[in-house]
Amino acid sequence: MNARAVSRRGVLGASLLSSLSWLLAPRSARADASLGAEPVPGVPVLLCVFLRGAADGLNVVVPYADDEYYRLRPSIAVPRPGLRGGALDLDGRFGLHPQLKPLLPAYRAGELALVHAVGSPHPTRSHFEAQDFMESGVVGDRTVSRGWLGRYFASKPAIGAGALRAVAVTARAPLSLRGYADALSTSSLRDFRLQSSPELEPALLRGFQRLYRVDGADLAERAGQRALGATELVARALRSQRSRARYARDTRDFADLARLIKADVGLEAAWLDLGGWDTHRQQGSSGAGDLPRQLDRLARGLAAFRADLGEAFGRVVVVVMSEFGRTAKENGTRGTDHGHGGTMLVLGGQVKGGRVLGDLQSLAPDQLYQGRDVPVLTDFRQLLSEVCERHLGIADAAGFFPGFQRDDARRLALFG
Amino acid sequence: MMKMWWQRFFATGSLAALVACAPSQASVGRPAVVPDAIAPTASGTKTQVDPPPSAAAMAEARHLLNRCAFGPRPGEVERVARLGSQRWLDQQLSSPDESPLLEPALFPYRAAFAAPAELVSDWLGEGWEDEGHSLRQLRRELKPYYKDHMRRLAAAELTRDILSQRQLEAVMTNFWANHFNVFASKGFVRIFGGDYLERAIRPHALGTFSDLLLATARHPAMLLYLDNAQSRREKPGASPRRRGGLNENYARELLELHTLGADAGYSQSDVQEVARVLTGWSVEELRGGRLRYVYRRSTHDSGEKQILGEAFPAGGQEEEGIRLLQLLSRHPATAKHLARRLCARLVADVPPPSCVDAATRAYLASDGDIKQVLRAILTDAAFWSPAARGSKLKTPLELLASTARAFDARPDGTLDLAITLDELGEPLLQERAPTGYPDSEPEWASGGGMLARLRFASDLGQGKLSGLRLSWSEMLPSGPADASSLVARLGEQLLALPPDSHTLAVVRGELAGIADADQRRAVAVALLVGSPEFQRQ
Repeated sequence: MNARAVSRRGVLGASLLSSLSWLLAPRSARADASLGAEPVPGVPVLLCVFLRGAADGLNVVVPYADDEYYRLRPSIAVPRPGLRGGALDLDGRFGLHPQLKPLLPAYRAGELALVHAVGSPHPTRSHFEAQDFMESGVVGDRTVSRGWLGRYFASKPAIGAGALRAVAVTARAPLSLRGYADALSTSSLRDFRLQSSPELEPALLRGFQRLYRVDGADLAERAGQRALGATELVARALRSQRSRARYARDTRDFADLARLIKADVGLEAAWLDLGGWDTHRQQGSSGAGDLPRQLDRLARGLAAFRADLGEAFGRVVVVVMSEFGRTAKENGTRGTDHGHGGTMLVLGGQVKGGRVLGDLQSLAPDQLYQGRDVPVLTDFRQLLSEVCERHLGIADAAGFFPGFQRDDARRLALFG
Repeated sequence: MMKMWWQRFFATGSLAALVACAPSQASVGRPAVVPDAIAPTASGTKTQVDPPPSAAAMAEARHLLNRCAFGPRPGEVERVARLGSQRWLDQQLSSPDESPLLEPALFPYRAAFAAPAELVSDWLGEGWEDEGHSLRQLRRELKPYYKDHMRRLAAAELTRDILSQRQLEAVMTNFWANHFNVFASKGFVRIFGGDYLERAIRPHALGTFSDLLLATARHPAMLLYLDNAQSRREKPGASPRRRGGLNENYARELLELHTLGADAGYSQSDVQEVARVLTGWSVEELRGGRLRYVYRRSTHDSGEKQILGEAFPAGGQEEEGIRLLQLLSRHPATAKHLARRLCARLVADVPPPSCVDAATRAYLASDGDIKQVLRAILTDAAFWSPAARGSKLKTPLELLASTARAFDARPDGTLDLAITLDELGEPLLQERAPTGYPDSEPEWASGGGMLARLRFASDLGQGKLSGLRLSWSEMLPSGPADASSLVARLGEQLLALPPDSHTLAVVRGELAGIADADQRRAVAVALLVGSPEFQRQ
C-alpha cells in the first residue's frame, strides 16, 4: 500500500554510515562544519503540528453513530453523513468534519490514521501545564526544561555534516526543541534574513558573527549565532525549490517546510504551531464558526503539503496534536470548555492509515472522564513512541519518555 | 481650532525638548551633574563639585534602571548613582511629576486612550447607536479602523515607556497588562484595549492588588476576551438550543493565572462554582452604545456555592463576586504566585526562594499593597546579587524602549514605532493565550527573534528605522571621531556597557577597516545595539 515508501533499512544504513564518519572526523572539522556544506538526501522527517488552545477532538473525528453525541451537543454537533453539512463517513461509526475534506484522499489511500480518546493521563485542564507535558514528554513535572525532540537531537549525531536538523515555525522557541541549541525557531522561514544594505551587510554580518560566539554560554547568544549561520542556507534552500501544489496565503508555512524538505538540508524534525483552537463560544458545527475555519486551514495546508512533496512524502510523517480535548457537552455559549481526551492525526507515506484508532465506545455518562469529558484511553506517549521508534530510529522509545510505562495492549500499530 | 491646539502643544513641546536636551549634552565631556525634572534641586548645584560616583555605585544604578525602568537615558546612570538607589525608588513610588516632553509626544496618539463610546462615535458618527446596526454590521463598520487604532495604542504605550518620568509605573503597567492579558483581536475587545490599559491597569499598577483584580474583572476587555460576558446561569427547564448557560473560561484563568496559580490545588468543582458566582458580570448590549460593564441580575445564578471550602449562601448577588475576588486576593497561594511572577520579572528567570519568600510575606502583611511588595523585592539581597545583574534577556519591547532611551530618541508621532514592535515579535495586546508573553529567556531566544533584533539594530544604525526621531549630531557631537572614541562614547556612555567588554573590543576591530565616518557610525551603532550584551539587562 505504500508504493512510494523509501527503503527504511537503506535510509538507516546511510545514516549510520554518516554518523560513523562524523564521529571519526577530526574534532576541528566537526566544529568548522558550516551549514549546508553538503546535501543530505533521503532523511526521514517528522513534522509535528501543534494545535494550541485545545482542539475539540469530537468535532474533528465525529462519532456520528452515537446518539449521545447529538444529545450532548444540540447546537454544535456535526450532522450525520448525508445530511447538509454532514460528516464525511470513515468507517460506519465515525466521520470526518466536512471542512477536513481535503484530507479524505489521504485517508482513502491509507496514509492517514485518526486516533481519538488520546492525550495525557494527567488530570490538568490548564493549557500551559498540558502543553508543557506534551512538549517535554514528562507528564506531571513542569520543571523539566528540555523537550522530547530536544533530547532526541542532543543524543544523536547529525546524519550529514552541517545539516539543518530541526526547524520550528513558531512565534517563539517551543519547549519541545529545547535542549538542542542548534534548533532553529522562526515565525517565518521566508523572512529569515538580515535584510540590511548591500554595502554594509558584510561588515555587519562579520561583526555580529564575532559578537555571537559558538561557545556562547547563554541561550540567546547561541540562538543568534545559529540564526546568523543559517540565513544563507534557508534562503538558498527556499530558492532552489518550487512548490508543486497551490498554497493559500494562510498555509505558506507548510509550503516553506515542504521546500526545506525537498532541498535535502538534512531536516529531521519540524514543528509548526497553529493557534486559535480555544473555542469557548460560538465554535460552530460545520460551515460558519471558529472551529470550521481552523479545520479548513489545517486541511488545506496538510493536503497541499502532501501533494507538493510527492515522492518525498514517503519519508515524512506528520503528527497533529493538541494539549487536550474539550468537554463532551457543549457549554452555555455554544462552545466547549477544557476537557481531557482529544484527537490526534498521523499522516505519512509509510503510515498504516485509513483507520480510526482508539477504543472509545460511547459518550454515555459512565464512559466519560469525571462524567464530562472524553477519557484518555491512549497515552500520547504511546503514539509518539511508535513514531519515534519507527521514524527517528530510537531503539527504546518508552525509556525516552521518563515515567512512561508502555502498555502493549494499547499499541496502535501505526506502521503495521 | 484643532490646529491651533496642536501648534500650542508643539511649541511647548519643542521648548521643553530644548531644556531637557541640555543636560545630556552637558554630560558629554565632563562628569558633571545631570539634573532632570525629578532630581531634587537642593542637592543639584552642590553635586557639581563632587567627585564622580564610584564604579560600584554606577553599576548599582545601571542595574536599577535596567530592571525598574526601561533602561537608562543619557547621563541617568550617573544621576541615580549620586542620588542613591533608595531615594530613586522612593521618588518612583510617590508618582513624580511627569516629564514636560510626555504630553506633547502623546498628543498625536491621544485617541488611543479615548473612552470606548467616544471612540466608536468618532468612527461611526454621533448617534450611531440609534441607527439599529446588527452586531454583524457593527463588526463590518468598525473593522477598517482597528488596525490603525491598535498601532496608535502601541505607539502611545511605547511613548510612555520611553519618555515617562514614572518609569516604575510604566514597567509595572506593562507587567500587569501582561499578567491580566487580553487578546485585542478577539471580537470587539479592540475598542476596549486603550481604556483597559489607561483606566483598569495603570491607575492600580502601583496600588493594591485587590483593586487591580476587580478593575480587570469588570472591564469589558476582559469580560469579552475570556467570555464571562456571555456566561449565565443554567436554566434546567429551558429548551437546549436557547437556554444559554455557564462558560468556564474566565473562572479557570482567574484561578490559574490571575490569582492562585496552577499548582494551588483547587478543583474542577471550584472552577465551576467560581463561574457561577460570576454569572451576571457582563457588558452592556454593544448596540446600545454604552460600552461598559453591567451586572445582570437576571442571568446571575443565586444558588448556594462552595469555593475553596468557603460557603457562598443562596441569594447572593453582585456582592458575592466581590467577596470572591477579595478571598482570592488574600489567599496565601495568590501571594506566592504573584511574588514568583514579580521576582521572575525583576530579579531572575528562576528567582531565588529568598526574594520570593520576602515578597510573599510583604504581600500578606500589607494586604496586597504592590508598593510594599516591590520594596521587599528591591531591597532583597537577591535583587542586588552579581548573579542577577545582566542575567535577564530583554523582551523585544524592553529592547526597543531601552534603545530609544539610550539614544534620547523621541517617538515621531507616526504609527511606525508600533510596526517596529510588531516586527520584533511583541505586538501590544496580540498574544492570543491568556498567559500573555513569556518573561524568560528560553522562549524569547529563538533564531528568528534574535535575527529580528539584529535587523532592528542594523536599521537603526543606517537611519532606516522609522518611528523614532533621533539626532546623531546631538548624540555624537564630536563629529567624525576615531574608532576608539566613537566606541567608547556609544558603548560606555549611551549603552552603559562595561569598558572592558568583549563587545567593545570586537566593535573597535570591525571599525578599523571603515574609512567613511557615516558608515563607521552606522556599523558601530548596529553592532552595539545588536550585541549580546545589550540584549541583556
